[in-house]
Amino acid sequence: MRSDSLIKGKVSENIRIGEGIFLLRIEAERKLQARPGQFIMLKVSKPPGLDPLLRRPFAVFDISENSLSILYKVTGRGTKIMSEMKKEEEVDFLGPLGNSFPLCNGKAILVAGGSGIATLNMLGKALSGRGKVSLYYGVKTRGEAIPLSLLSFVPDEFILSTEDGSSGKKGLITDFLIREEATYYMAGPLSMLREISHRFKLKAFASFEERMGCGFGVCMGCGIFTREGRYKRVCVDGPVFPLDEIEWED
Amino acid sequence: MGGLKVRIGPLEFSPPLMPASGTFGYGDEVKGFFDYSHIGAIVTKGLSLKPKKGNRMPRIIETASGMINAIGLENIGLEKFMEEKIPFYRELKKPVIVNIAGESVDEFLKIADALERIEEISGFELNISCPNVDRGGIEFSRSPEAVRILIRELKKITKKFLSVKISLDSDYLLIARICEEEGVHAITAINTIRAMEIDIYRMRSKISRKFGGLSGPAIKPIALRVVHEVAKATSLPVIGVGGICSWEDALQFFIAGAKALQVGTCFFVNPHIFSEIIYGLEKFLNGRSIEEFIGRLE
Repeated sequence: MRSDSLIKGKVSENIRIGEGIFLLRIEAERKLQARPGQFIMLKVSKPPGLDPLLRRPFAVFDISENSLSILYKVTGRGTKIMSEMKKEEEVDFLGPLGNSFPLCNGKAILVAGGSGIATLNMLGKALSGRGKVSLYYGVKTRGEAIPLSLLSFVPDEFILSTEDGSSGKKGLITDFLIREEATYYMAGPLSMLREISHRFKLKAFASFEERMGCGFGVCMGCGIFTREGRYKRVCVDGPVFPLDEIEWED
Repeated sequence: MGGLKVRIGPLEFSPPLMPASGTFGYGDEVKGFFDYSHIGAIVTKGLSLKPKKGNRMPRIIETASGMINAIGLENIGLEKFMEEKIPFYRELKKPVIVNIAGESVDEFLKIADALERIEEISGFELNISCPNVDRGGIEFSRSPEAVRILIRELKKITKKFLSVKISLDSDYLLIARICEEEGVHAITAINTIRAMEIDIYRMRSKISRKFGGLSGPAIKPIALRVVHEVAKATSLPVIGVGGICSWEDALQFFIAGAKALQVGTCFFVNPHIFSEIIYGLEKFLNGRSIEEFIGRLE
């Protein structure tokens, strides 16, 4: 995080794109840059309000000049407030924060579980042209899937799964994943990452989510246990980790 | 910062603002963006003799105007601390107060002894009030006489600044008086307050350790009360901490009797909080000294 990382901006768009899924676009006060996998910490209470107190971490869905967008699902109080944000409303955020996905050459397989798609969008764009990009995208039900047209890249191969079979293949996305000579990139719930880690021994990079207090490495709230026998911080040591670095606690 | 300068024991705090232990790492984590001239000292994360892994996730949960944490004193341990952090403090040229989180009198003594001869370390804050560990922490505060023994033994080996961080879950006025009798330089009040938040569907606490410590604006009125009580009950300077999020909050603590302040949880939300407090206070003081306002509560 740099000295000027507290960035002010205005909501330029906040549209519903699925069941409880929204795309929030912020027009920031200045030009921004982010690498695939990075995130921001958005304040959801209106200044000088302190409730909800903590900022919320969101993956950067896309970025261009002064415009930054995030994709979010309404799951609690903070995201509920966000869903009611109006155009021109003032917001501020910290970031972009965290590390990013390494860009490997050759075939890339992107595995997104639910909101994890938000984390992989910029990556897909950055990988296009380096090799074939396949996208495996799993959601609970049809309404939770964002349309492919919203993505900033066109995958060479696309597999959609829903748990209830309402669209695409029926089941968990991990059921359809096959081992190939490729670099795997993934983002989604911990259960999905754990399943992939246990079932496949892959060259894989995963973006992890954890509750965060600060987002810049001081509160120690967002630990992930590693093979080094210690917790690392998802916010500054991650959010992207080589999958084989993680020591699963369960 | 003419009016924003205070002396406590052997140390001068200019400004009388510092981060609360556990909300600022060891201080070097923020060097990419933080202007250290906005704090009068660094207060480190609680340090133990051996590294501590800390508790399992989830370690934090947001509550109304606050948060509960149960980090469990995850830290790198004394040896690594001395190896890796001292060079940074040497360059920084700021008072550094090490928050010691020992499980026993012996552990406190070993850490203080090792750091006593290190010039870059200006003092110690004794964490006898952490709610999130099995041994040490808050257990100390339950026995005021154990606190007396701890301080007495420490005073034999350190001449540095010494503050004791107290908890609401203890007879804190008695502990404060003991601190005064034993020659401690200051009381830090208050640590987080033991608290819980429940997941009604799983019928479980929302953090892994069941209880954690509540911090943030939610505890500010309680912290103010305790700061005032301690300031009245003893002649010791009080370092006020608990939910400070603005210069107005800061001034309330000075008026209640605090001589210096710590800001913790709010820093997570607003990394500019220290400079905002300084700016607001300087404007308010308009050339006067903050000393004029300390303990002015009618």
